[in-house]
Amino acid sequence: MSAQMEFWLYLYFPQLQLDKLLLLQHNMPAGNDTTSLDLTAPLAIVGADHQLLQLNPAARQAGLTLGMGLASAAALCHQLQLLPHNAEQEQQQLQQLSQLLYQYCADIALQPDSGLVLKLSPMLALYGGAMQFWQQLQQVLQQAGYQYHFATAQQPLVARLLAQQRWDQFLLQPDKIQQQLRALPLQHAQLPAKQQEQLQRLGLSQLGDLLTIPQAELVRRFGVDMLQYLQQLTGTKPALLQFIQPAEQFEQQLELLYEMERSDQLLAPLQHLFGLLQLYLQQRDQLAYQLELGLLQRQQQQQQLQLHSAQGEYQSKEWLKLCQLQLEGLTLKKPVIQLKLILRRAGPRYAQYKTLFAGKQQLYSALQLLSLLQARLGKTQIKSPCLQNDLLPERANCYAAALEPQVSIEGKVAAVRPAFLVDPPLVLDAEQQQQLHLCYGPERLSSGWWQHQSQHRDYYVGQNAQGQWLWLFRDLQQPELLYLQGYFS
Amino acid sequence: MNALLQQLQDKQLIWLANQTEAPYEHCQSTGFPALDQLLGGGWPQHNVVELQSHGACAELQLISKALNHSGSELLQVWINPPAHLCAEYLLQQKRPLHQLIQLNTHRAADALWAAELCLKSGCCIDVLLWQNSLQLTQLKRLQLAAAQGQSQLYLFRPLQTGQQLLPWTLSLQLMPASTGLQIRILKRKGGWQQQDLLLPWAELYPQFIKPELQQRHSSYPPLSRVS
Repeated sequence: MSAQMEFWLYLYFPQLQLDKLLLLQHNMPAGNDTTSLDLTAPLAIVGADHQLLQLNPAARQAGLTLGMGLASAAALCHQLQLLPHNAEQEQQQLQQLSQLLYQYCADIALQPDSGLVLKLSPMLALYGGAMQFWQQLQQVLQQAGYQYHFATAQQPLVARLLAQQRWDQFLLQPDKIQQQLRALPLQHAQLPAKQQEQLQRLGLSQLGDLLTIPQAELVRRFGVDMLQYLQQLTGTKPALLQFIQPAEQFEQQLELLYEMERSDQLLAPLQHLFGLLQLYLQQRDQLAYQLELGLLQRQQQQQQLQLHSAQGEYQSKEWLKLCQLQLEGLTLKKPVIQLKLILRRAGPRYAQYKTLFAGKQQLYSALQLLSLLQARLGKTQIKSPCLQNDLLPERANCYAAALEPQVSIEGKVAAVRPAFLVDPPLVLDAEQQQQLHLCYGPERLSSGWWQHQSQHRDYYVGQNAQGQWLWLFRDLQQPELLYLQGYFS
Repeated sequence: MNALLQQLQDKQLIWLANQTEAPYEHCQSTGFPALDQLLGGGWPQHNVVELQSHGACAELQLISKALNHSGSELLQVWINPPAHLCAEYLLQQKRPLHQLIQLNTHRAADALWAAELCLKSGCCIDVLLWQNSLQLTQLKRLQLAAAQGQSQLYLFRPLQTGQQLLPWTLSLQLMPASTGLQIRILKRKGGWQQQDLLLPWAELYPQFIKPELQQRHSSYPPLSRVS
């Protein structure tokens, strides 16, 4: 094994869609619906041309094989459950897998037939040996939980042919690989059917036979396509591969196994989604501040939830808690069939400080508490008082967003101010005025004379018949009226 | 007979008069010596205190000193206050405004949930809750949460007419009188029945009631001042 030799690993996933179903079933509590699939009974994924593409163990036991037609399958096993093949979903799963593996390997390309090509050679130096690298990859694949087959070779095409034959050898020895390749039957060489037939008529049965014939002769008989095929097989021309780029944005969908009518049922599948989010954020060392959860429902209805965290969280359990609070207040219009989670706002992770010396056990930080309160009560219900630079009490005292630092205002704070303000001020009638008992005042406020809305008020403190302490004012422009502006408390 | 007594005592069904010493573990001075004496040291810490009044009669003034003593880094939460908060008053009391949160809830259950969450979070020091009715289990939950988060809940309720059945650590009734605030202890854990206390208004509102001026009150604002 020399350092400058190029090696490729091909990973082939034969039953992505079926494995996904098994994984979901495993993660979710047993469905009490009768509509849900029974994965222990025979089940098959059927392609567009009515051929069986993926089979579960029970179906294999019933005697079904891959590539069998629907009619013969039904004849063999009448209770077979069928699912249409979903190429789009498989492509998505493949994308997810490639994003997972991207943490360990720099060059990964997606292949059309449920496969991934990884360029090994640059990574070997980093991992200090092929086996260490392979162990690392195996661990990731194990965690992902999909069935896979693999092969290594010096050319991507060779690795692909061998992996799809389920060779399952991780070798960096060119001679052994060549030997295996030469023994490959021609019908598995992925040549067009017409050429295969022609080659068979020539008496060639293995790929090795093809490789011994001079290239020029073959090209003259079979055309340019054959030349390209041979070049890829021998590696004289580099393969055209498009390597993946890490996803810029987190956006995940989850099809539910059965329709969910209650919002608390959603928590189990949500946990899976938040787990993916946690992985995404951990890999980028980020915190999420805002998420959007789309609940796709029957009859194409959709409900959206906005999840906020003031402090920023990456852990799935924290997001689950916030989401749970919002779901409690939500009534589902229709049963949910699909979940979609989008990361709207994220930022770099920073150390979160907690008080160490106050001697208190902190369950949440202030920002976490704020997020929890906002999730249940709504954003507008939580606020902090705030002081504006104005003389009139109703303009000076207002509210700002909770826990946000405020601009400090120069000057002395007035000595006599009540704890609570009545907004707008109430006019006291004559009887109430009679019962008043004034203790302090007047304090004159003249404001707004520089504009055209001048206000001149005399403020008093008084006690009413019930013994309550009131903050009152008389507007100098309407001297007959007495207003109640606040309560001392 | 003695064995029976012992059995009852083991089940903590017998109350002994000598257990009444030091009813609270920690106390926070109220700032009014007479009230401190009445309460046996001050407000019980990390607990729930009930203040019954019909409002606007110095109930915040009573706890103002205790609120100011609390840690500066921690939050103060006001849940469902009866009116808008006055920022000038809070600044006057030296409270940092950005560490004070006001919550408004539509339902009483939400208010109690929020109070419990704030109490046990550990990042709040004082929670002020205005709530009309309270059940025994709700009070127990709040008391446990306050102890867990080492925080304090002041619960403001209108005057209750019926008999007190809830196991408050401290429950006070505040009635305004002509010369001051009459404070009656409705319930106090491990305390004896005490005389009512009358706190003069001048002590509660020193900023606008000067004792020497208290004689001359006018009954309504002088119209002569108006131009």
